[in-house]
Amino acid sequence: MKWPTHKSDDTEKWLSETLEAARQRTGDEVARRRVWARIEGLLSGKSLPLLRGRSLALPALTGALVAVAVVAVLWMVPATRPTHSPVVAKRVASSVASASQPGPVVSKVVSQGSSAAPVRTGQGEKARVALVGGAGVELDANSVLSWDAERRPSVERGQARFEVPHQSPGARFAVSAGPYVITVVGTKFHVGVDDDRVSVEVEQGVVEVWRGPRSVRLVEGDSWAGPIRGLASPTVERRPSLAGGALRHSSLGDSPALVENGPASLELTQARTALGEGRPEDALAMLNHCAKGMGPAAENAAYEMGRVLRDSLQRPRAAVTAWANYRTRFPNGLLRAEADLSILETLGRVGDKAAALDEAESFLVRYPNSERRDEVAKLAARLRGATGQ
Amino acid sequence: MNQQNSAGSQRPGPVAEDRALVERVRNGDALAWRALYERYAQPVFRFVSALGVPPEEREDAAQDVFVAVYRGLGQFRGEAQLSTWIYRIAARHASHLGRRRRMRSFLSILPWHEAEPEPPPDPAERASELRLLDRLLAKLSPKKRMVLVLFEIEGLGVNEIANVMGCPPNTVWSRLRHARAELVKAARRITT
Repeated sequence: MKWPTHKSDDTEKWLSETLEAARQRTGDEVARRRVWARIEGLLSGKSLPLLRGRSLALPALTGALVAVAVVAVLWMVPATRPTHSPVVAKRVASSVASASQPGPVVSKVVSQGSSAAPVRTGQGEKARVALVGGAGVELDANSVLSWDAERRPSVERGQARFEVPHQSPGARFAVSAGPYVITVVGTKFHVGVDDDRVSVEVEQGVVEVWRGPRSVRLVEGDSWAGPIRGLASPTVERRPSLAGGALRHSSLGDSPALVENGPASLELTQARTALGEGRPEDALAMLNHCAKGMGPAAENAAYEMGRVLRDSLQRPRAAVTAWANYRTRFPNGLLRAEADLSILETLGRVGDKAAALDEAESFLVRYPNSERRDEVAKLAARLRGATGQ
Repeated sequence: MNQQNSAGSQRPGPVAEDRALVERVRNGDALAWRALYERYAQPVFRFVSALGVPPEEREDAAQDVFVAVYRGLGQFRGEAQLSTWIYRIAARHASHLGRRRRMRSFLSILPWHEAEPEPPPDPAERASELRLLDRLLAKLSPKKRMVLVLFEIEGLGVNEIANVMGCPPNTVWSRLRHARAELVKAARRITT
């Protein structure tokens, strides 16, 4: 069927010509090449079976959940802020000058988006690598950084200093090293891998080191080491402060080792699966049970209850209560700032401006150096105007 | 690709070539994957553009579509044409992005939300007529817009559009008829 048919009519003639122009629209060749480079970098070295079974075809409910989560993130986070995705790397910063300062002499600057091949440094050589989510890593001499099957950066050998900006609410940044996975929300830390052990040193923020269901939480000034082979019996040393530079292997005492999360960790995984399958009530029950336990899995579950209540069950007030309970139980928890922001955001969404203003002002007092400070300060100013304070 | 509604723009090659490409990609042939991308990158970019994905999001959208294509090739059974399958993935993703934009737009009018700055125009698309067409298309509902774009710009036949959108051919005809009427009406309002 040909259309428009009445080409004597000026409007339809214009439409006909413009639609033809749209058919011939070739787009930007450079953009297509740029996208190819990113796709090639993402998929290089991967065979199809590894990627089979995943597509954008999510079930409708999951799609709705994601949409709600995106809305939540967009509401609090500037639109241009990169978000961490373990699978799909978006544009990465062309410069990683902020990844490490003051910066030593660096002979390589690599963007993950342009190549997923391992990055190796030789004798006397250092490299900076831009990662997804605005993170950066500085590799010391004689080090190797690659990407594991889940597209997490993986320190294979040597010393690496990571700088990870604060992640979007609920998002974690993960690095693998031997049998361990180090997860963070926003921090600076060093990872070292030699022939028989992995070591982690926290310069700023909080990190978790996981091996299977066991984990240990490290805070600023902590250093930790665990064996690559055999059962993990890592130790933690707490020191008052850290100097920058390469990781130091000081003598490690008999401080706390990895905590067994066993059933709680499994339950958390099952809860996430239930949520993905569109069973939020089941997920909430599992999270509630898990949250009554101990360790990081319990803390994560306590936080995630709020997200399920708000995003999946549309119960924002109950979500605020759940996050408030989290804060009571884990006043210095890894997700404390996320809980604060989630409460603030949710109160704003339900229109409780006075309570949102209280939260915003508390946030500004509690986190004077937060990178979200300006954003929250602007929000507080608007709320003050709206509430007449 | 169904060529029954043939348009003048570049179209992906014959079905047999697509099947051979898919088979080679499945066997780990990197050159075949590159060829598949070259064949469909332009249609995907054009399609997401016509569906209203703004210039600053198009590269990410195209990347997401092709990563999904790559992941899904292992499950692609060949019951539909490769082009139909790719259009379906792109349509779904563009719809998702559209919902996100609409929600963002809605939130931007809330009193405590800071409005986002207007995105810069795409230097590759300076033609005022095309920009005007995009504005007219934006007045259509997402489903009508998709039908019209697939038929008039991408050159798909009605049955193939029905396959992409998961609806009966009669529904496609109906949406197409309404979309055309609304587009002409909107165009008259602007040009007269």
